[in-house]
Amino acid sequence: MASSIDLVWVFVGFLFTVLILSYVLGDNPFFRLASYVFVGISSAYLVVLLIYQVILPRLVQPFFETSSSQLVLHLVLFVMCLLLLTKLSPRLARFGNIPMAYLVGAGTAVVIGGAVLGTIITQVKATVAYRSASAEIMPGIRVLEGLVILLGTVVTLAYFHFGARTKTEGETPSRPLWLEMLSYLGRFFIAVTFGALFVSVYVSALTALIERLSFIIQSVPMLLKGLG
Amino acid sequence: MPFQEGVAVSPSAEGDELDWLRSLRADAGEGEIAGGGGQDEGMSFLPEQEAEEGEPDWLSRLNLGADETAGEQMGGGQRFEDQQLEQGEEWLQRHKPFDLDQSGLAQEEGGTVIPADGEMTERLEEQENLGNWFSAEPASQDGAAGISHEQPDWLSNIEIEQPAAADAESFGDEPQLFGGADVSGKDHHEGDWLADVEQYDEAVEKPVVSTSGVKPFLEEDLPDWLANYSVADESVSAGGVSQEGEQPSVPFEEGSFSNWLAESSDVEEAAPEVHTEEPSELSGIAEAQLPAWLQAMRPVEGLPAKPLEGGVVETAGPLAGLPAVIPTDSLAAYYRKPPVYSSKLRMSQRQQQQVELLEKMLEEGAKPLEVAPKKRYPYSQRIIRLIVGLGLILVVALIYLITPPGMLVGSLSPGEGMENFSAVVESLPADALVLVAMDFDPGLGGEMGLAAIPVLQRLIEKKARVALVSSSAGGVIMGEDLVRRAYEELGALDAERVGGYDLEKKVVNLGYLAGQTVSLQEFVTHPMRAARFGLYGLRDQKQVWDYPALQGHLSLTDFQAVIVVVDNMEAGRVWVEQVQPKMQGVPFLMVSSAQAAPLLLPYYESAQVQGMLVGMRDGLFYGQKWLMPGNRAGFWGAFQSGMLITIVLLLLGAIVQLAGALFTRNKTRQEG
Amino acid sequence: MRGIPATFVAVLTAVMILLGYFVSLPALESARTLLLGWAVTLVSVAAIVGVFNLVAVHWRKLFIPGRERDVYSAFFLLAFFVTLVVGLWLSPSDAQYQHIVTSIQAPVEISLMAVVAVSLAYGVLRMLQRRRDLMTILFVLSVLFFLILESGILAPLAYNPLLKQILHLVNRIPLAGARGILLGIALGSLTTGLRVLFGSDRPYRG
Repeated sequence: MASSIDLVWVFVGFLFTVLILSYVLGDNPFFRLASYVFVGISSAYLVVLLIYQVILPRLVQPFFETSSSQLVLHLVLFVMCLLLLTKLSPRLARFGNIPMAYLVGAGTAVVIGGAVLGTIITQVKATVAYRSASAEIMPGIRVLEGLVILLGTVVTLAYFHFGARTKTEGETPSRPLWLEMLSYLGRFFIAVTFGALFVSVYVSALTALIERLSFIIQSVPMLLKGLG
Repeated sequence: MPFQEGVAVSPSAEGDELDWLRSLRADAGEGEIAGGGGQDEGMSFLPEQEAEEGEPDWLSRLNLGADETAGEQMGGGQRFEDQQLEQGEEWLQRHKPFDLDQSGLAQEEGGTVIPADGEMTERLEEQENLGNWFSAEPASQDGAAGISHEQPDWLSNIEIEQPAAADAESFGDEPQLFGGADVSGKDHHEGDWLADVEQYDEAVEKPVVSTSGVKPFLEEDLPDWLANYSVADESVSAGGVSQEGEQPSVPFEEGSFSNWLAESSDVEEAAPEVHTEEPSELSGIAEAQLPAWLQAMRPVEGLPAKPLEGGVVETAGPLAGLPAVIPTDSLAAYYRKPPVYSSKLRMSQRQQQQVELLEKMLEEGAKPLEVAPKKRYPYSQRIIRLIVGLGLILVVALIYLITPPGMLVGSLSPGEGMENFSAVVESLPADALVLVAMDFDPGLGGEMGLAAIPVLQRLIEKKARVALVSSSAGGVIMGEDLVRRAYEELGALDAERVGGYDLEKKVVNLGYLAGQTVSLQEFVTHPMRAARFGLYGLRDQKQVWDYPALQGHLSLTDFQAVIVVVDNMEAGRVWVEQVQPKMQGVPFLMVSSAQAAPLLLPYYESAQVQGMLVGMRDGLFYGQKWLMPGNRAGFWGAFQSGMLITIVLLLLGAIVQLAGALFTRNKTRQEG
Repeated sequence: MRGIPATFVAVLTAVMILLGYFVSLPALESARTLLLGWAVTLVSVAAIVGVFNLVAVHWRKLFIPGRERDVYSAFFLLAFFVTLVVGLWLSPSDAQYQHIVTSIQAPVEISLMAVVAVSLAYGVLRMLQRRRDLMTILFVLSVLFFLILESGILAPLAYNPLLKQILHLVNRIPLAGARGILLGIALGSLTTGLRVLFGSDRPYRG
């Protein structure tokens, strides 16, 4: 048996669901109202979460529990955080460039390391030495499968290669013929892949619709019961 | 002298100038010689002076200063100005008074010849008065002529030996002649060139002669620019002689001044006064009484020609009382404008194309984004859209409602990674420690719930300890909500299946990892630092690693499996890239939304992810496999009906569009 | 000249963290840990700055005279400050406060996703209206095939071994394309990262 507070929250959820779904009928004030409130609530929640999960334990608390030597280091971080706040003012924003540069540097390093170790090396290796994850596949199909994977990966990459050069002065830059051919084949793989991606996005969206309808169907009797 | 200066200053002298110079030289042959020394001055005007290798800096400076100063002397100075007009009036107006002073002084000095040549310098030193350049005594024109008689014999011989025609030729070769390093005044190895130099001397001296009424140029030989001043020339005293008692010479008549020059005429009038003061200032020093030590230290061979007298009088130090010994002022004033180098880039056509492309891109980027007015579909399309939307909702809702609630669905087929996923979960021992990353936004919470809840229920059944973590702000709470729902639903179905499972002790929330990629890297290397307090640590005043579920486990490799629940490709990719490589054999599983699956499947194929459960379909299948609670029949029926509607819409749309296209084509063909 | 210190900071940070991926030195490891920890804190502060900038925008939309007033901004501000104050008072660990996510955020976001389903269904209807070239037709055929596959209609056919093999093979096509896209993204990230590392890209200047 749901408590009255739970019922209130169910009602809130129901209300917001209906307000947003009203967009199916077209853009309307109810939809806008729900959108603005949602953004406001989400933003505030993020701030609260960051304050409790990061700012307090990582920025404030160390002032009370670290040694003096660590405190100096921590002051550096504190100053950088203060500099970052200058980004709120267009006049002072340039003082925030240093911490922004720091963030970009850290992000860059992590992205490079991850891309190389986590994707490039492993995916290239998996493409070249393909092994089917399915054990039920016949050997002939398995070979064909490997070829499709290899070809598809290469031609898709070729499609995204936009570098072009001119052979003679004045000529319109173009890709080499072999690359052009691979790229054309790549379009085939891209079209099929995007078709699959479209369907998978639709599947997710349809699942969301079903889930919401399920929620409405379940919550209406609950709310009616609660009112009664 | 003036023409020489002019030509020398302008190495790009044209043929016209050569003609009039030749005629001038012819006059020089007939006329008197006066005002020597211009040769050196003229030469030292050359831009090629830098070519004087080995010449000490100070000497170069002095030479230049002398040259520049000499360039201002007499009418030549004036003409030099004319040439400099191109460099701007401002320059000229600023220095005009000084120029006139200098011209006056030069006239006084007359033809003092002080070539930088060492031999000639020696001869000069033999002179009793140490050369007129050092004397403040005003030199008369006669005196100037007289000095010209003191030219060394060898020089006179050379003059005689050189035919006039050769002069013209050599003059015609002027750029080469003056361009060479040999032209430098200090050259000790002069040969033939000196002959040419002497002829120039003759020519140079001629304007000085013109003070007695001889025109420096023949009217018909004047270049255009000079012809404008031909009237004025008649009244010009060649050197602008300004001796006391004599009428100060004015190089040009007032009426002949151009506007900009007329503006400075007031200043010019003051010039003779300035000049006449200088001798009085020097009157305290007797002529030829220069101390010996000073004579000794005087850099004779490097001394500039005569112009120094017009400079600043030294008031202190060993040179006190001497005028213009250090011609710094004139140096500063007369340094030529530095050469202008071309800033044009040479680029190929390809580069040009690329530049154009870049410019085009920048132009496009700089354009303010035009906010397109909100597109309003035609009424018919809005109706169709409404019908499609409402139709889809109604059918799906209806199917969900009418399908009898059931846990068994016949047409479910699992995805590729489902079997492996299930196998890994089943391989976990009882009480295993599992890290579950809830990296999804609330927007896909519905789908992720349908996919992940059966897995969580299975973990609960296996009495696994679950550590939740999320790099998504919403995922922190949503994850915990999923665990609670899984527990409650499973308990509602069969209390025994959750018996003995205490959520407080078995589940711990490591909290929010802000900054996704960076924080995941920190988490995988130092989990205790990255997730220090978790979601409840601050409230409970203890670190998250002290909670019962995690006691004794301090690193990620202590986990027996990692299950990442993701709703988008980016989040899944980051987990695989940052965390998986460091897991050292710990099974890495993934529960993905349908929309992220196609781009995450390669990680499963490459065995970086050992098992994969995709979306609602796999979730329902997994739940059915382990007989988990839930209205699977209702969800699956609604899903299938929605998919079928979409297939019908697609086919319908395709048929209508193609039929419309065919109809249009036929119509066009018939009309055509 | 002004950008040199920032560039230096970016490159130095990147190099020290990146080295940690390939070199295992205790000193480097501790420095790397410190740098990563700082980055997490700074990211959080940056996010807060971003949110307050959003608040400022709505504040201006509501209170700056001379502009058309957006009354919906009032609802944004009201929702923001109420949630902020309550959140700071209760903290995110409070069960009632967690309903902010489960009872407001989740319903709204999921509903928005549901609206997307309607839009996509309508889009499917008009798929061939704009373009009818080879690639569009291929795309539509691919959509049709995977819609049928995902709907489970063909599930009974999966019991036929040969058909299963063919379906499996067809499924490899998007897998190959996805791998190509993944590699493209990784290579793009690498290139962009290296440009930042070498100082030729400086996205932090502003």
